[in-house]
Amino acid sequence: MIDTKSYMVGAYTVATAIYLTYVTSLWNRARRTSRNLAVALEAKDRAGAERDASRSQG
Amino acid sequence: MTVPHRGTVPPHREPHALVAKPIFDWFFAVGVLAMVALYVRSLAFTPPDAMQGMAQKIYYIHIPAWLASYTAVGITALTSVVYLWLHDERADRLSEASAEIGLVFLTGGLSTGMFWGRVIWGAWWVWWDMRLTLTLFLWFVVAAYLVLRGAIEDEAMRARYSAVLAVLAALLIPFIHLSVYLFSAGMHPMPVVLQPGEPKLSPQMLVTFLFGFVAFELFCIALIRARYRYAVQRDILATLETSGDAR
Repeated sequence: MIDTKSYMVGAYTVATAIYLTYVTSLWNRARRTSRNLAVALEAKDRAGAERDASRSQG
Repeated sequence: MTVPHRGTVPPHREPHALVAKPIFDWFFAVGVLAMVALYVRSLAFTPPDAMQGMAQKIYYIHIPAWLASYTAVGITALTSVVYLWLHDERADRLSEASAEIGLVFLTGGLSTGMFWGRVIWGAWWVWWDMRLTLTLFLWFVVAAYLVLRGAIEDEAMRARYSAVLAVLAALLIPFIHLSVYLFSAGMHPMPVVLQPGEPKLSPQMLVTFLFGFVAFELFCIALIRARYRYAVQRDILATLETSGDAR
C-alpha cells in the first residue's frame, strides 16, 4: 500500500521550496539594484550641483 | 532596419521616486497571505479523496500553478504583440518579467505533477502522455526565451526576436489544454472543472480549488509586478552607468 501522505508532503515541500527560492533570488537582486541606483543617483546629483556651482562662479 | 525604442528610461517619472518605491509592496503581501491561507485550507480544512487519499490534495497546488503559468505566458505573448506593434520598451520589460514568473510556475506545476503521477500512475514521468510532454516543451521554450534575452546585446533586436518566440510559446497553451481531447493515448484525465457542464468535485473541494486559483493568480500578478519594478530600476541604473552620470 503506497503512503499517499508522504507524496503529498513531498509535493507541497518542493513547491514551497521553488517559490521561496525564486522570491529570495528576486529580493536579493532587487536590494542590490536599489542600493546601486541610490548611489548612482546621489553621484549624479552631486555632479550636477558641482557643475552649477562652478558655472555660477565662472 | 533598426526600429527606435520608446521609453528607454521612463521619461514620465522621476528616477528618485522609483528608488523610493518598494519592489515588494502591499500587493505582494496580499499574494503571500493568500498562498499561506490556501495551504492551511487545503491541508487542514479540506477532506481527502476517498479513492486517492491524501495525494489528491496536490490538486490544489498543481492545477492553479498551471493556470498561473498560463496567465504569465499569456501576458508575455500579449505584451510581445504590443511591443512588435508599438516598439514601447515598457511592453518588452513586462514581457520579460512575466516570462520569468511563468517559468517559476511551470516548474512548480511540473514538479507537483510528478509527485501526483507517482501515486496515481505508478510513474514519475510518462513520455507518451501528450499533456505532460507538451508542457515540458513549453517549459523549454520559455527557458529558451530567457536564455535568448541574455544572449543578445542589442536592445531592439533582443526585444524583437524574443517577442516572436513568446508569441510562438503561447500558441502551445490551447494545444496543452485540448491535448486530452485530441490524443486518445495518455494518462491525464479529462478536466473536472474547466469543461462544459457541472464541475465533478464536491462543493468543499470545489471551494478550495477556486480559492487556490485566486491565490495563485494573486501571487503570480504580485510577482510579475515586483519583477517589473526591479527591471525598471535595473534599466535606469544601466542608463546612468552608460551615460557616465553615475561616476
